[in-house]
Amino acid sequence: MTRTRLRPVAGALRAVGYAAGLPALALLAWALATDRSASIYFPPPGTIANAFAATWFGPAFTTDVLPSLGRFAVGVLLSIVIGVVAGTAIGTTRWLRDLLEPLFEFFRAVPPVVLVPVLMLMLGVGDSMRIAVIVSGCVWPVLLNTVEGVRGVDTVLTETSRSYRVRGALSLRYVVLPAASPQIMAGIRLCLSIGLILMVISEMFASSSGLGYRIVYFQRSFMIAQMWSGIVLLGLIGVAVATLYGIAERRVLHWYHGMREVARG
Amino acid sequence: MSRRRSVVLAACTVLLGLGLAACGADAADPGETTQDGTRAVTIGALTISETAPLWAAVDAGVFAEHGLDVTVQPIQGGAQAMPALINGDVDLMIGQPFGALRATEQGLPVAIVAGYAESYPDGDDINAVVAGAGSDIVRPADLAGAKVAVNSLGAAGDLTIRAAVEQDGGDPAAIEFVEVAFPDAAAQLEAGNIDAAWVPEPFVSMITGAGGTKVVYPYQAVIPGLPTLVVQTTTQTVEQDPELVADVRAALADAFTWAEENDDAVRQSLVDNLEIPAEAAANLPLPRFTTAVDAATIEALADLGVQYEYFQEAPDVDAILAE
Amino acid sequence: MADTGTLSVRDLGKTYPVGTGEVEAIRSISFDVRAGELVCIVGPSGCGKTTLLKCLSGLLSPTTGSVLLDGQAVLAPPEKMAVVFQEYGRSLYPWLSVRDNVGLPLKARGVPRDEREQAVRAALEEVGLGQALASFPWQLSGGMQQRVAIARAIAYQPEVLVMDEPFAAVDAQTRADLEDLVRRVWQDLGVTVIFVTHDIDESVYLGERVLVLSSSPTVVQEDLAVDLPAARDQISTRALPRFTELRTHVHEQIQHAKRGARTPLPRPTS
Ligand SMILES: Nc1ncnc2c1ncn2[C@@H]1O[C@H](COP(=O)(O)OP(=O)(O)O)[C@@H](O)[C@H]1O
Ligand SMILES: [Mg+2]
Repeated sequence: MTRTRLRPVAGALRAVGYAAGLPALALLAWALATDRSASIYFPPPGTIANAFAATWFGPAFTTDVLPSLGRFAVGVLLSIVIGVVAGTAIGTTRWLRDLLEPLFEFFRAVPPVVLVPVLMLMLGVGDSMRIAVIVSGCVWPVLLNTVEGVRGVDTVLTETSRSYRVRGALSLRYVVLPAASPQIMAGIRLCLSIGLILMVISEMFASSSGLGYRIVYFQRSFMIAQMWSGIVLLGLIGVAVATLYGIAERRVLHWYHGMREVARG
Repeated sequence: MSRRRSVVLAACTVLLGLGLAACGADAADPGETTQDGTRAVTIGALTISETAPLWAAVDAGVFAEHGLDVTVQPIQGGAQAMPALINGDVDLMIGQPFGALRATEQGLPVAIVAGYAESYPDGDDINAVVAGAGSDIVRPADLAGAKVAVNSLGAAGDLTIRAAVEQDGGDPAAIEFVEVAFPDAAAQLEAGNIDAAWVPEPFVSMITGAGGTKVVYPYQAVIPGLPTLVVQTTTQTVEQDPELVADVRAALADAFTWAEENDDAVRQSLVDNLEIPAEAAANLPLPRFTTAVDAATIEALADLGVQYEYFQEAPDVDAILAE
Repeated sequence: MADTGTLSVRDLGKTYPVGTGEVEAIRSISFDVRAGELVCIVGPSGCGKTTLLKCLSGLLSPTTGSVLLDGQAVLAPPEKMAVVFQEYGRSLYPWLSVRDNVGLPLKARGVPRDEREQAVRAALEEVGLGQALASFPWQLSGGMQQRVAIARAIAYQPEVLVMDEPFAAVDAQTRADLEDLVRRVWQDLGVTVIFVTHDIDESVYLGERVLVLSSSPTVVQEDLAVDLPAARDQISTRALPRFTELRTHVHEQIQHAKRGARTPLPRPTS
């Protein structure tokens, strides 16, 4: 009896243990390593923690972190909207696909970083350029996955919808997009991680604020603990973004996971 | 220096470059003597036109005469090369004096052991703030409220511009600085994305040649004769291997004398080692090369840094200058 | 019985292009279905039953011939027709609840919300799934899923209900229940039902009439009236000597057709 009652508690503890275990170990390893070496480039965790609090819980939060996150959010949202809208149009329109597919291969092969000087000339050196850099890299996984997802709708479902005359916007909303949603979500997941990287990279050009700028600035100014604290912050943002994505995915794809669980028996 | 490369480097050094610092603990001692009696020395140098005499003199054997087998290691920036200097992969480095002050302020064991290049205290200087064609920015005070590009924020460029603007009666806090790589500045000016840019030669001539105006020589206006590049090494090397330091200093002095007499070779090195087109290399204004360091200018730079809160506390210039 | 819902199939043929060549799925088929009739179409696997059905429902355009619904050529899925597919698992929207699966065609037709809810509930009650409104299809058994598909067809209030081997993949007991459900729906709603199957017993038990298709290249081998009593029962009807006669006859017809004969065997007299 006691045993069964304790099981959920033990389960939760185990889950926390698994989630926190590796980071804790890494921290410990870091502490031990830095304790011995005393290298200025590898400050101990305590120093980094102090630098973290001093650097990011202050004006830097509003001058660097928030603008970065804002550009990241706008860039990613734009990428998702453009990717899904264009991907749906292309996935459902044969001639559009034949026309554009070779072009995609071309543009997809261009790393966003090399577009920066061009984008800088076209869009200036402000937020729009940085957002464009993010979009130029993030839009592809969403777009291409949407095309695949839209094309891959089960033919039986398509015929069912046709025979019941479910068409146009209704078909998009209730048939095509949900059917493509597992692939769209996979594209969004990629989009998010690429977006974080490009957020940082875009701030290394013609910049004077932002998380990426600040990390490079610290590195250039030999403020090593501060630089590490920026890297830690980036990592934490990555974890937060992944968590938010996980919540959204569970809501959007609850049917998909449920179905797969049933199929697995 | 290519901006793209520097960004990739900036991104990579953050993690990878630091890895080197940890792994290079057992790197060869600086200036180890080889069998033929010469000492192997690695000198880190930016791939900018100012370093041409070094490349040329090494090729001409000036350093070999001093028993030094010099390898010039191209670096992308003082900060990026610092881990290599600290762990001994690079024995000496030619970098900006501001970087050395900044490194010392952050507790890195860096010393300036010789001068390398200086800006001109009067006449045409080798870097300038320029405004695009048709701009109504003509004097430093006009930069208040303008968008001004520098290659790297938080260094001597923006510091001296702030001081020059204030000297001229403008509000230095009203300048909006952005980072733009030197080679991109002309296009950004033309596109109207920035109002003015701080650039070295040959970009100064390029932009003024296209109708731009020289607004100010910030180094000359604030600290006349401020060194643009100095030779740096670790305090450890200064203490443990004074011989090496003295040899390099002497060799470099000879190199500059040689360079003065062999301008053609220096210009050719601009073409060969720094990929500058031959016509541009022929007319490129170069700074004054000298191994002497005017302590007063470094002192003034440190004071300026404190005044504009670039440094939390005044760097100990006497300790940094190991002469 | 409804006076609309008549179907006319005229010299219908279908050839699929395959790579560089082509596959003739149906040679030539003609038949008529009166309004309110329940016709079973039976034939061996691969003889073109699904192809015929897709042509009937406007999902596929025939290569030759035509389909007329109440005298109008069928060129696209007609509004008065509902289709139940063999692959129930793939014909329900897994992201929609049972309620929304049944309701979506009505929404497409512009039926107001309240009315829709009523129709959905009634249709699900009819198939015995009144409790499953909020479930998702994949939470249901195969037989229940096919009931949802049938409920969707019922709620749509078609004049012609077309079903393609709907019970091929469910267990025997469920299948018997579903067969009776189809008979009941047909009697209650008075719709025309075209029921495709490869199961001879099923075709005789369900149909008022059985169309026997030959194997490929496909033609109508025989058009057989089923003179069994209207009230059918899984045990007593199947035990009737007449049932046995009819199913034996259909069976022989198909064997006969497989041997390549084009002329039907003589009919069993009642
Ligand atoms: N889309 C298609 N393309 C090519 N051949 C097809 C296609 N659909 C069906 N066929 C062929 O047509 C014939 C009839 O198929 P089908 O109508 O599915 O038969 P049934 O439903 O009676 O089993 C088969 O030989 C099948 O291989
Ligand atoms: Mg079939």
